Amino acid sequence: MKADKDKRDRVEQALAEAYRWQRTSGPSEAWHKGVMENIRAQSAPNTVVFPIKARIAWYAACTAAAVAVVVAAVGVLVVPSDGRLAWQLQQDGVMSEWVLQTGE
Amino acid sequence: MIYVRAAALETEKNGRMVEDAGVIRAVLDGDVDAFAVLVRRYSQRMFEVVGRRIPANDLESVAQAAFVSAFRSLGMYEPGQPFEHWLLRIARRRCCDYWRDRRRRHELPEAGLSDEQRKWLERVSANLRWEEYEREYQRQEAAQVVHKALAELDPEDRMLVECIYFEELPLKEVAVTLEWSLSKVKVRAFRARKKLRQIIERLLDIE
Repeated sequence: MKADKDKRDRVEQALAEAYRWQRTSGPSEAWHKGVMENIRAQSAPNTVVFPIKARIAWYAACTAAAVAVVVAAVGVLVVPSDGRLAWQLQQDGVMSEWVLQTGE
Repeated sequence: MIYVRAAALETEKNGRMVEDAGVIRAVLDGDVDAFAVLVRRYSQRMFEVVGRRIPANDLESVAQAAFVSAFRSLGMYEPGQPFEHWLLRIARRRCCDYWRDRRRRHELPEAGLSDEQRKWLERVSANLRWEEYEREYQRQEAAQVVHKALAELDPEDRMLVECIYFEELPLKEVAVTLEWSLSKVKVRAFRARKKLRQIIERLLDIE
């Protein structure tokens, strides 16, 4: 109903005004001293903050993963396959010499 | 004349910003006692902001916790922005933590209204003249009813209502404070206001 809505709006407005109007006491000298005592008991302020630390860790992990992928790719390209290795050994005659030596 | 005053105020603000930056640099360089300058400069404002949100008996401890948090994360402060805004953002977060903690420990104020508070509600819901209205919201019961109504909201909803509807802070500022997206703040603020209205309707016995 319109009348109820108006009542509710007036109360809402009054609550907002009352909230803004609230008066608080000022800080005392003892409070100032207490704050500084507490501050002195703390360790030095964090100069490298957590999000920065997390970002650095993330970049380090990405770099390590990229390096691992490159090393693996190079390894796959450079190291011959089993078939290719056998063929190469056969071509070089190493295999026949080894068979002759071991008698297998 | 107004322009001259505005310019002077702006210069003063900028001057203070430069000064704050100097003090912060000194603190970060190891001069912890220099922080006392910032505590003295902003303690009054801190008490105003925290005092509206927190019961008087816990005001000092929450204000102190806010300054300690500010000190500990001083390395995060970007010198380009006003120190006061940054500090008060921390203070508002500490207030939200306070209510979260109290809710977890089920230490919330009693929900019911006293006779005096109910009478106050009836008076302000009537169509008053401005002078009468002004007198009403300055009464002691006014603040008590505000806190009883706010106590029924979630800590985040409470913070949104306080910041956006009561203090009229920009949505962007609230988004930075809560570390939420702007759209999330808008949606949550809309819902929080709806909840507050439902609470008011319940207090007024409106079906």
